[in-house]
Amino acid sequence: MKLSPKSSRKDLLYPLAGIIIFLLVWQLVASFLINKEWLLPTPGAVIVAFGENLPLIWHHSLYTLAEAGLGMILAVIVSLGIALLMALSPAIKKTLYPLLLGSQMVPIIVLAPLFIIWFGYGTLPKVLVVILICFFPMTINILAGLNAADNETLSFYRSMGMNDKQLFRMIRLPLALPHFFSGLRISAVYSVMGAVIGEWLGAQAGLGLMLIRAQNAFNLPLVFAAILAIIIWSALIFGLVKIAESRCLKWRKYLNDEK
Amino acid sequence: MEIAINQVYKSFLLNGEKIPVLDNISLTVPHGQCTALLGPSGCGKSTLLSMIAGFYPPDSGSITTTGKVSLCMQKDMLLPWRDLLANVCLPVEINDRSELAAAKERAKSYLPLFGLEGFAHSYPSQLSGGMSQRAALLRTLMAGGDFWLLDEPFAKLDALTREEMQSWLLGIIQRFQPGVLLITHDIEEAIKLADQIHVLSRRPASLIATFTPPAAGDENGISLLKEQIHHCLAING
Repeated sequence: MKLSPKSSRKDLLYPLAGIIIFLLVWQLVASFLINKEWLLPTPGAVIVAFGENLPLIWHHSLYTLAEAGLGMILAVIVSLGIALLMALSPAIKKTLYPLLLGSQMVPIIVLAPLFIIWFGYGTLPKVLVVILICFFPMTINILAGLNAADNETLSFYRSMGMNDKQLFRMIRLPLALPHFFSGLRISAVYSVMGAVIGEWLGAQAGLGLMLIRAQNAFNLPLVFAAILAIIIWSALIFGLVKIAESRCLKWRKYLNDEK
Repeated sequence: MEIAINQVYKSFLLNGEKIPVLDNISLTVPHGQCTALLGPSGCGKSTLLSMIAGFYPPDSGSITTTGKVSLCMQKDMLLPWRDLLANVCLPVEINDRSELAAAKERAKSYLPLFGLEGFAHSYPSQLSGGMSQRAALLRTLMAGGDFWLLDEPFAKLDALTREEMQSWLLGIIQRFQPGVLLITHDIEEAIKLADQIHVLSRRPASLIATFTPPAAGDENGISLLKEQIHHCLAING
């Protein structure tokens, strides 16, 4: 749908208003009700801490981003593989489904320390946590997308002369692409958080380690500055996925136009 | 070339119950003519068409087709991620990729005739309902079938567009001279387009009458035929 300038301004206005109101309430509560920086710093103090510790945040961010990025890429590969296998064979689908669901029912906070025991304090356990969190929404969505074509559509193209391979490549795969991106968007939101959880339980560098150190030092402005960094990076990755999505699905932008 | 349908029976299982759909249908669709199958909605016309297209076999009886058939459904079946040209050339692309470039040129040259000039690179979502259906028919033409199986191709369009499309389709059929099997529940559409009209009863569908419409200008003959068809649907439908 083409946005008129008016409605696109409104689209920006509401979320912006929400954020400003939130910050205002926070500022008022922090400075008048609590008034103790080590308990709840004001938004202003957080911004100052963010600015003062920018090099430190940048240094730790690089580790976290590398883990999140690597984890996401591997999660895409894993989920594509699993979803393809499950779409091609009902037997594999039935076999893997309970395991897939189970993998999401085990609390990550329990698994992450195990990964550290097994794989040490390096990058690997963090990447594993990211994969574990990110692969599930993508797998489920890709699978739904691959099975989205109805019988009538498949019969029609079969009568046109398509064989199963062509049906897969020309109908089912493109039909799954929007679903894949829906999953990828969810994963993008969780990826940085996943890496931070991994680091939280033991790391040599990363925003999670920075968080736990700041917390132990009761440096709450720095804790919130690290949270701010996590939000910014998550939003950036989310934005990148959105851009990739609109590039890959150009035909979709006309879908809401009047027929 | 013809499609010969000989004593075809078909039933479906619904919740364990056997529902007869087609009851001893025999008819012939000759090449170079438009044959209409007229019957009330849900009578099983589409089932017959699906069997001619090879989706599934009849329970008994035979369907023999000499020549290639191509199908056009009530839904346009255009792929939303392909532009118009890529959609209409899809039948060529899947059967012989080396012909694709030539097919695209040919399809382009047909665009004005199909009222799609300037839309070669538009996506289906940018086309109107009538345009989408004309694109679907262009794809049917590009598929190169000797017979076009048209399953209520205009049923989803508004009345005004439908009338325009019928006149347009008449021109297309006269120009390309395929064998056409038109499935419809619209009596006027059948009279306007077909050389021969087979009227089917309500489900289970059996053939109740066959008519040959009078020439286009013969208003008396047309209204008489309309009455006859109404009458025969009222009794047996």
